[in-house]
Amino acid sequence: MSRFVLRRLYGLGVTLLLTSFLVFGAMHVAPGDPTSFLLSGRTPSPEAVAAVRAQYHLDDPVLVQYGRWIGDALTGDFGRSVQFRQEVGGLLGARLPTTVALVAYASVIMVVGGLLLGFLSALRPGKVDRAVLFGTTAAVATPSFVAAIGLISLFAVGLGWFPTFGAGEGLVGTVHSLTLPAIALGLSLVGLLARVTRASMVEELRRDHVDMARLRGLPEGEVVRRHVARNALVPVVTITGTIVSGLLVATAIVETAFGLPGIGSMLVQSVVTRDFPVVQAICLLVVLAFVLANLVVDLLLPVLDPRTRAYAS
Amino acid sequence: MNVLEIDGLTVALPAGRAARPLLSDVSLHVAQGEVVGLVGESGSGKSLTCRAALGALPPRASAEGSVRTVGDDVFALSARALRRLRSEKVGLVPQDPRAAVNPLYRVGDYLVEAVRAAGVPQAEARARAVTLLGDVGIREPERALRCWPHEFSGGMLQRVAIAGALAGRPALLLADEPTTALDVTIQAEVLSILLDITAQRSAGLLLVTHDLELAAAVCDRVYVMYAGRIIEAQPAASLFASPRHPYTAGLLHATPSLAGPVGRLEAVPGRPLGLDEAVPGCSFSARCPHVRPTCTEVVPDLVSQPGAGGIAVACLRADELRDELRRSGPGRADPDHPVLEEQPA
Amino acid sequence: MTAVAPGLAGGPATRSSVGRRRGLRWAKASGPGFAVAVGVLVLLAATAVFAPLVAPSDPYAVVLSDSLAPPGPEHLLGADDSGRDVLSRLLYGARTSLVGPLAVVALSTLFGVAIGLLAGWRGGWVDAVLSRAQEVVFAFPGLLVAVLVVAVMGPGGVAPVLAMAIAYVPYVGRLVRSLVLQEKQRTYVAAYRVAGFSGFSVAVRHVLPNIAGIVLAQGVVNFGYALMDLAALSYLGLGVQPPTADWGAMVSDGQTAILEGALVQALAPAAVIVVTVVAFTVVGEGVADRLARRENVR
Repeated sequence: MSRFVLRRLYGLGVTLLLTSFLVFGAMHVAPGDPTSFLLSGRTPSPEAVAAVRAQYHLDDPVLVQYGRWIGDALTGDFGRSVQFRQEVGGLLGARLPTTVALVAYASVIMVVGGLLLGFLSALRPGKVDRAVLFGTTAAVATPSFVAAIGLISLFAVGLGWFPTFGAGEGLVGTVHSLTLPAIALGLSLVGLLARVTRASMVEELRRDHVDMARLRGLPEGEVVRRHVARNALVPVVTITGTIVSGLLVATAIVETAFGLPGIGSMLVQSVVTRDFPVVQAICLLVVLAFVLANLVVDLLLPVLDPRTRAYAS
Repeated sequence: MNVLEIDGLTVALPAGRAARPLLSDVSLHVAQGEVVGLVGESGSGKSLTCRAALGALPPRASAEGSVRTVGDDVFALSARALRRLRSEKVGLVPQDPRAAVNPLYRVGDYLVEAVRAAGVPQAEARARAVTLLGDVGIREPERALRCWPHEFSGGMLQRVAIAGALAGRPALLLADEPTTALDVTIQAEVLSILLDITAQRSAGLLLVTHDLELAAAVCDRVYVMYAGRIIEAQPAASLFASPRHPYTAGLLHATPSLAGPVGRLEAVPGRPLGLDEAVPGCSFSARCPHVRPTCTEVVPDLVSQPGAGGIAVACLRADELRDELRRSGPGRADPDHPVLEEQPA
Repeated sequence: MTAVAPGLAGGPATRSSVGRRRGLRWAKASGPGFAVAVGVLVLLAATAVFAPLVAPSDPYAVVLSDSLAPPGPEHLLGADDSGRDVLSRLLYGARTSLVGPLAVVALSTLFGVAIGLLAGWRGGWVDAVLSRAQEVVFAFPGLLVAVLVVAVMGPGGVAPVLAMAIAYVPYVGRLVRSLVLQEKQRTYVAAYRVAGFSGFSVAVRHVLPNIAGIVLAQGVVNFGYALMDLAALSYLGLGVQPPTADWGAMVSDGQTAILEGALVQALAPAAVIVVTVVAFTVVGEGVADRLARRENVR
């Protein structure tokens, strides 16, 4: 068991190392001299250029620069934002809570909605199943910015139930103002998860041991709960793990649409202004989230399915 | 007292306009303490008959006739009463325990949920599960309860499944090919456990199998099915010596034997039919070496034969063929030539 | 020896000749949803090609007096804040909005098939290296790759499309690899190899045509997703740049007007995006379902 964990940790560590190098290296293949955007358009004196090159260690080999960058990043030092002229760490720290709250809210919507619709669809063949299938197909095909526009038009402008803009104050205010963004963020994933859940349930319903459980006279509720839903959960958990980092990136769209001060909207601004330290830090964060989510799934699977435990050890 | 009574059971699937029949006029019974074999090739309807005893028909299938299981008319039961019948009065032993046991739960969970479904309170359920595992000959039952199914061999897991079938003190055990999925080396062991337990509890056992020889060896009576019909019923004691239906005779002839000279293996010519593709007349007529023109016109009824022993045959030529089939059979169970004598030491 | 092999191969060569009739049968057997979806896609393609003929007015003509004009005889779907005709922009927008995803699907399928075929067929260290590389790309959601590339190359142009293509390669690569591994188990592959055909020619001439259907179906589904991702990029102002007509950018343009109660300008392109993606999904999955069912029968 512990050897399995170590092996997975090693694999994910390698992934993290390679991806972080890609994130760092991407900025180095950018056309033009990095000093030109660091000095942001001013006609630089040779002294200024030299000072900037020294400050950002631009004359060191790329690998050395990468080592310094990743080392600093591990201590929470992501450098200074060119655009905001502040420490990136502090900037991110101030915006992270909004984004985390948004992602958590959307995850709850996604998991609850996706599982419920998936179960409903699999257990009620016929009209209900077809209706859910139709709805989820449309949901999956709705990009979050389209969902955002629709929700704003209907609930914020039309009915006036929710604010169109901003993050709100206090717990109630935050939940209230994050409701529409979270729905916009989670909608297509509700559809995706519902379809995965449905497929998994339908497959499990056909298993011999489910038939056997009924022939053994177990109560139908217990059959569905213990022998169908429980088994169907395994692929659902796997897919949920791979979705999370995508959710984090999609906040860029939703936060922009709803004018929320999170790291997603900050990523967009930084890309437009070519604020590389911020872009790098956020990309690193997303990749880290991906790796962590996968680690959680890897650790959860043996708990959910004892057979993978036997395989792992 | 009969723990299972199936009378004139006809089951059909609606397929387009014409209903597709799966079983036709099947009648059989199992008395308390009796071991009854139900033999047929795959697709003959034997598993379907077995499931019908539990009130489980294919979706949208229609049924005529009656099925009384441990005193209950299964087609008249409410969902709740049907569940009680399944959990308390009947035990089902599956064909492949590996597929029949949910791999995500411990062995103990499989038994405890069965015991609970049979109405035993949670507090006593675990102790009852331990007893059950002991009953099927599993050593260290306490430890076995905490094992996962994938840690058990097929034979061990089938013992667990048998223990699960006993959870509600059933009066009737149904075993659908209980040893087919197991290694040959442990088939006899598992079967003997099943037979011992049936005898100990004086329950009835319906043993569904494709192996006529096995059925004749361990059962009190044997029913032979072909294309959804029962074509012969006979006490096992006389079946070997004098099969009455050409199909039964053919099956016995096709069984390879250690006793006889190693020659060419015989097979029943042709392939088995489902009832849905049956020709007019006797469904075995296309493969029957004794076929007469009338055989392809008239469907033979299952006719009880005169004399003691409860023999019934569905063959128009049953009387004429009586002696011929006896002579042409391999005669291995013939009292004059016991099997064991011819076996090399 | 060589005469034996085609007999064992069982028909992959005859597939294209009956393709058209099979397509019709698919449309019939997959229900009205499938047929409608195919119709939508055909209509869209026609719109993109014939936009100049069907558009009621110039999509770039700025008429400030018409700013945010409501739907009416002059502007069937209203006009945007610059007074440009929304319907005309939608029709022209089909061009940019469809060409991008088309390029993404073409490129990702090309590279994904090459990588998947190589990894699945060769196995060993080649497979290990390629799989590891794809895993690394997997860690970047498509939008993040695009954002990263835009940060480096600047917004607009072909860079976002290339980035999205890279992000989609692992999805195709994984699928092809698993299909190739399955196909390798088939008897006809063994028959060809025993018959002395080289591994490469068997892979390209026989395995590839056999998996092409499923890969194509996946490509159609991916088209919808790529359209969503590229539209999102344009919405964020990182993809197609103004004043070029593009559905994603139109939603963004129309958003401010929503607060003033002018909904059509944003909702019309939004609806078109959803309908288009649904159509691609339905067609792609319909084809994949039929292929899977045929596989089961075989």
